[in-house]
Amino acid sequence: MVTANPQKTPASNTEKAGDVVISVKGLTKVFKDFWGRPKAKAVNNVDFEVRRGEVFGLLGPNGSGKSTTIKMLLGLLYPTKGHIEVFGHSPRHVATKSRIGYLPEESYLYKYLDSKETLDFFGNLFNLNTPERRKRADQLIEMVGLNNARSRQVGEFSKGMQRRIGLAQALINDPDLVILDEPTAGLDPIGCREIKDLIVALAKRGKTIILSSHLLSDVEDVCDRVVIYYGGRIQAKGTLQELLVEPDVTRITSPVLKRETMDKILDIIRSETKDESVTIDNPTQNLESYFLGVVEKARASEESTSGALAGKVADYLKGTAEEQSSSRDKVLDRLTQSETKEEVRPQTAKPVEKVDHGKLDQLTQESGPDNIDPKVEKAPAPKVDLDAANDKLSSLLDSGSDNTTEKSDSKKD
Amino acid sequence: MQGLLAIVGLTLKAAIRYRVVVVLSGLLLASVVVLPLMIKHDGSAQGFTQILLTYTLSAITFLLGFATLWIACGSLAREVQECQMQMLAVKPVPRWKIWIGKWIGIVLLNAILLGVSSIAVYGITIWRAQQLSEAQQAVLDNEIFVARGSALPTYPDIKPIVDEYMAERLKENPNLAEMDQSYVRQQVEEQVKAAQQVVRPAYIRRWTIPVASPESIKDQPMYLRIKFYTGRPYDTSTYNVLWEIGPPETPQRVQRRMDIAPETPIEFQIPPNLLDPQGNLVVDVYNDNQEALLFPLEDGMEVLYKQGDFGWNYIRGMLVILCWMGFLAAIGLAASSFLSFPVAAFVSIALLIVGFSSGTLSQVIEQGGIGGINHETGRKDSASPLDHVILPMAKGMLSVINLVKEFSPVSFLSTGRSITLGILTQALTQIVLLMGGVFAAFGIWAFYRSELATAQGNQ
Repeated sequence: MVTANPQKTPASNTEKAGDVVISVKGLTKVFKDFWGRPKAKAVNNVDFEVRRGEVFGLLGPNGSGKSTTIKMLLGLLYPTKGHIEVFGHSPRHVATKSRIGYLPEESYLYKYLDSKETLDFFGNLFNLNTPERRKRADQLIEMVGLNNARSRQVGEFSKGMQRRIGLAQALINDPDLVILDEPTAGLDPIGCREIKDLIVALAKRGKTIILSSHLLSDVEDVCDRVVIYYGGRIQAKGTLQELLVEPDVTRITSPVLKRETMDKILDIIRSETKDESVTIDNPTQNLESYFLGVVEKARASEESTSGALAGKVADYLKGTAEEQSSSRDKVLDRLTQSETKEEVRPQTAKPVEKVDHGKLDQLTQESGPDNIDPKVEKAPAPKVDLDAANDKLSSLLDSGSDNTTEKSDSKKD
Repeated sequence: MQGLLAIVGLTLKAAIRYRVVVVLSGLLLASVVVLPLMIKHDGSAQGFTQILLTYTLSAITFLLGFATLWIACGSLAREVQECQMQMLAVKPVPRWKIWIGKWIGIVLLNAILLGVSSIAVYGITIWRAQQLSEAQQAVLDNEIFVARGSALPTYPDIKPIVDEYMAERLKENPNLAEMDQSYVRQQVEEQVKAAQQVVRPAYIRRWTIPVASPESIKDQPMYLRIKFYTGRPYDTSTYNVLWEIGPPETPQRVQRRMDIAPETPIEFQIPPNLLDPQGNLVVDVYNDNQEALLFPLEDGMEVLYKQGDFGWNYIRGMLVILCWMGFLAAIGLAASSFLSFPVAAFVSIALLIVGFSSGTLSQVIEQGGIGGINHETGRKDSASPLDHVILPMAKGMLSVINLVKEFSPVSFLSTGRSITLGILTQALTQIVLLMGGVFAAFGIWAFYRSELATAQGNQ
């Protein structure tokens, strides 16, 4: 990999011109003590809009105001100042709630209900008739990979399984707006990937997604636009392209070159960049890609697991927009075909190779920034010490195999 | 409606899955079976009834009452605390429906538990009654396992009489105007009341009791239930009284002479067909003793007559108890709408205890305040500034408590009195709709206003 500067890339304005689903203006939340004295300003004069079909990320460290904002969007907390509109109504407007699906940061489900009962109960709250409830519950249970735990009580579930059934209940009403608070918390890398794929698939079908997370990779992989919180204020907002592109650095990725060829290229680059720094290294794939490749190999050798196995996307979630985009079809096809273990492989096993080709194409075709797929292009592959990576992998694999029997004690945001 | 029913079902399911139903059913059935085994009755119909009906039904009411408050507080406050309520509140179900759904669920749970335990009480009572002597069984059949109507004598309104008497006295003796008017009035009231309830030595007093149309209880025996006091406190002696019952100067009129003890309710059978054509029962009491006998206006003289079957009466009695449970559920849910579980449980149980202590409130009102009383008058000589606040409060609280407490299904069933549909409707209106409605309105308002989340996860 060769990195050099300077080649200025103009920032793109990719904000979609769709309908405004959420409008937040001057939002402030002050928590008060028993005597009504201000205790903490959790959210401070926040403004943003979320448009239809966007995957919108709320990013920030713990305690920065993400969850408070989400709870105000849902009408669970009331703003001290400011104004919120969700689909043009107050967050407390009852009918509007039928268009919203919510996955909280932890499992707040009823521990004494099993998977089917949980989905049936929440389906009832949306006035779904019995056949429709049953159909959706069956499809969702299959989609989130809990077919083997249909009649197990939610209280017995591992944290990962609780996230899965939580996600299923959030989608029972085929919502137009899905609010996901730390959706990948407690999930193994495979589960994380599946949820991220699902988010992308839902967004392609016109659903609006709000995603709150402090896991940067989650946000980076799926979000169109983000706001970054710190201390209750928005510190930065925009598309990932706008926020992440380094306009004064160029990166070239190619197959392995001969020494002489390399020297020639370096000479040319040095003549252009004069004394400024030029680095050369071998690209590494990220840990998630490597891990998924290992798991795929294990699956291919038919090693069984007692954990959750993802199924296809629920039919009713596919919507009517399917015909509108062939690229959407490809994503959905991949998701719907992921029932069999082998079919996941192309999606996950060779991501680095894909990235490199895309980059080369981009460079050779002199394409503008609008043609860059930010989800693939923008992240430089991290340097990983192989020994450390192996150690980490071993521990991940161990914890992954225990997923269905042990409850995780990882902490929430 | 679908959402409401789902919440009702969830409340019931929670009680079943958390084994509340099993534990409570066990406790209730144990109290129904074990209590009569531990306390032996004396073989009389009254003793049998006291233990098999009064004690067991009271124990069931007590257990269910506390369990209802506990479950109601837990059902809402713990769901808020453990954040499950967030999952409900973000769904298209208005908060009032969540509240009402919980309430209906708790009432249904009570209905199931009350149904199981009351069927057990009924079965055991009927079964064990067969072990009594035939004479006592007959008493049970006539006096307990029956729904009897009740008739009380009519007395004139004493207020105008007292007013007239006061005016006369003030005219005769102007110095009275300088005395404490409330004290004077109380003395006059006692005199007027005495004139209507006292039978002086060697005197006769006549009571005319409007019972029913004679046709409706033709050939049915009736029962006279009486209670009297003498001037001596804790009097243990007996008094010989001659009773003449029936239309005066007619051949049906019957005489009965009895030695009876004061301060205890006494019930005796009288022959059928003693009503006059207007449906009145005339009772003359001849006092042959040296002591005056006082038959209180409230319960000194009462006529009981058969009105219906025990089974239906029993069911109506249980429904009145269910009304109480509905009221307690409303109290528990109202408290937990804005308080945490332990505080809500404490507050609602404290309210229940205040309800039980209505006797103290009555005493405060009777004595005219709190603090030392004059033992000759039984009242405070002068009201302190605190009394001016406490007395109206006590009166208000007592009138509110009485709206709920004036129904006594256990006592009615133990004395074979009829719990009519009218009484049941009144109980439903006063206890559930009026009193429960006040708590429900407050609870729903508080629940609607409350924030159901914090910045963090669990609250």
